[in-house]
Amino acid sequence: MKILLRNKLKNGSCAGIKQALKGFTLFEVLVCCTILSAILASIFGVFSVGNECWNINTSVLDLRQQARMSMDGMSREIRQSPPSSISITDGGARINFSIGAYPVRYYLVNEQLVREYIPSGETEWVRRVLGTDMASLNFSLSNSVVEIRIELGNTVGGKNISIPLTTRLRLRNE
Amino acid sequence: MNKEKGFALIFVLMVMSTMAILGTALFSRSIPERYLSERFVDSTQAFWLAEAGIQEAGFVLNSGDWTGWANQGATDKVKTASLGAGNYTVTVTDFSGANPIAVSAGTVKGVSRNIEATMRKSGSLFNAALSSQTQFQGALFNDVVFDSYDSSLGLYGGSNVGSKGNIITTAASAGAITLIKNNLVKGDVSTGPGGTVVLNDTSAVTGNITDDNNTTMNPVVIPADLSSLPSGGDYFLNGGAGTLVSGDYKFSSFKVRNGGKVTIDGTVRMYCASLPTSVSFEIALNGQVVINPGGKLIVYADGLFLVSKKGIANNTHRPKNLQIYSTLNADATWTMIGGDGSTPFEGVIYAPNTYVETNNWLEVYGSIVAKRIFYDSVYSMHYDEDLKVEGSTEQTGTAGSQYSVKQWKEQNNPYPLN
Repeated sequence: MKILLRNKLKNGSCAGIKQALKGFTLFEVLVCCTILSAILASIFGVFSVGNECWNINTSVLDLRQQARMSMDGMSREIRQSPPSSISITDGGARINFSIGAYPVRYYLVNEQLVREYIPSGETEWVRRVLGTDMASLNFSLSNSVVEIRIELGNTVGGKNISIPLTTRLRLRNE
Repeated sequence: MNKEKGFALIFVLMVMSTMAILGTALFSRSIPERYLSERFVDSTQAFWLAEAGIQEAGFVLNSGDWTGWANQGATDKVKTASLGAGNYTVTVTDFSGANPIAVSAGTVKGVSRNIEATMRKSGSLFNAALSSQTQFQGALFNDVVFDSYDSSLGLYGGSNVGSKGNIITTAASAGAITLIKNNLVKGDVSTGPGGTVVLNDTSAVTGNITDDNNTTMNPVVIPADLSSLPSGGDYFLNGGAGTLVSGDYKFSSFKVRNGGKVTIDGTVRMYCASLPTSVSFEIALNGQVVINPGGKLIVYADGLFLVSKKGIANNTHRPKNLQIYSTLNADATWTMIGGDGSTPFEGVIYAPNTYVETNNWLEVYGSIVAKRIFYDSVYSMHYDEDLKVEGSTEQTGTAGSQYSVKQWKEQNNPYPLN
């Protein structure tokens, strides 16, 4: 702009200077603001929807990842426990079993999947949280096959997200 | 107006920059997610490859065909094989020993899962509730249940009830196993290759139904120290009471009749060396043999084995403490076990070359292995899982026994135990 003015002054064109310094009319500004507002509103709408989708999908990914990790951890341990050591209590919400001499159990506490075990020589259960956002957990045992059902849930932007996952394990030890 | 072109350019650049930032964020978020998903898939595939290695080790241990395996020292074998998207390497340690250990590592794209399986050669003849070589049809009573328990844990019932009341036959015919009268098998049933299972009258099987049973039944071998004993002639208790204390006995026949009661104190081994067509062992007319707690009765019989009414009271309540073996080779009913509903049969019968018939209101705990089994008019059958323990009975499996997994564990448990 300065260069433009400088050129105009250098050329001695006062009419050009006047023309260059001439402001917008109120009508032009209003039209411009209106158009800009409309564009910004539409862009914001698109971004808003995108952001919501982003949050939901991120949450879904996190829940799926948690579901896989929780299921994999439980599966590895339960698979190697003998059927005679397994007891399922609390209407299927808790599983107790042993791996060698170590008693292990899985259940939910405040929507957290917890694993507890008693270390060698100890008497107290040691707890570790394996996952959060657990809506439900259910175990069943039939003919050396354990079925595990978990459901993870979360609310994002007022929308409820639910990720169910089921697996069946054949117990390897007798 | 031409002088305002730059504004549109800046605006477009701003929008594009914003979208690029968002796109980059999405992309960067999806990369680790994709990586984690792929790793999970690879890990799962690696696990099953490791399982394939264990299965192959078990197969080769049983077949003895080590083609393709390399020696690793004097006692170990190793093999690496490609399968699907990865490979597995399995090492069998002490492959000719009683308990070889197979360690298998499955690997897919650098992700490994390792499994260790300790194998054992089944040394038990009694791996199912009922095992025969011909068609099995039973039972004639309504609602008979075939299930299991573990006598080492206590009496049958309560929490000591399992689902290993397996019935197996090597018969390969249609209806090789036929269940009637609402019978329920809480366990697996297996026929010979091509054989079928027929379930009539709402009978059911809770476990697997397969047609891959090809087990062989080894002949009974009379222990040399027993067969070489001088014969004590006929033992005949016609009423009254008698006692057999710990030791080995050899009779021409053993008979208890008319309310006679013979008590077994300690471990008694008895060889009834009669002619095949004669009665070797008989309990009739309210006669009874009572095995006291701490006692054990092992009977080898060359001829007929007949038990009725009060039968044999096994007060140890461990089926392994009443073992009956037949050397007879005849397609006829050799052994008849009956009762009056008051005394269950708690024992094992092994008659690989002849027939066994059970009847008359009898509850059976233990296992029966015979060429043919007539399971008639009998209450439920409870297989004792303790019989699988090697050495639980005097006669054990040899040529026909198979390696199976004794202990299975996945190495590298993700969570600590100690």
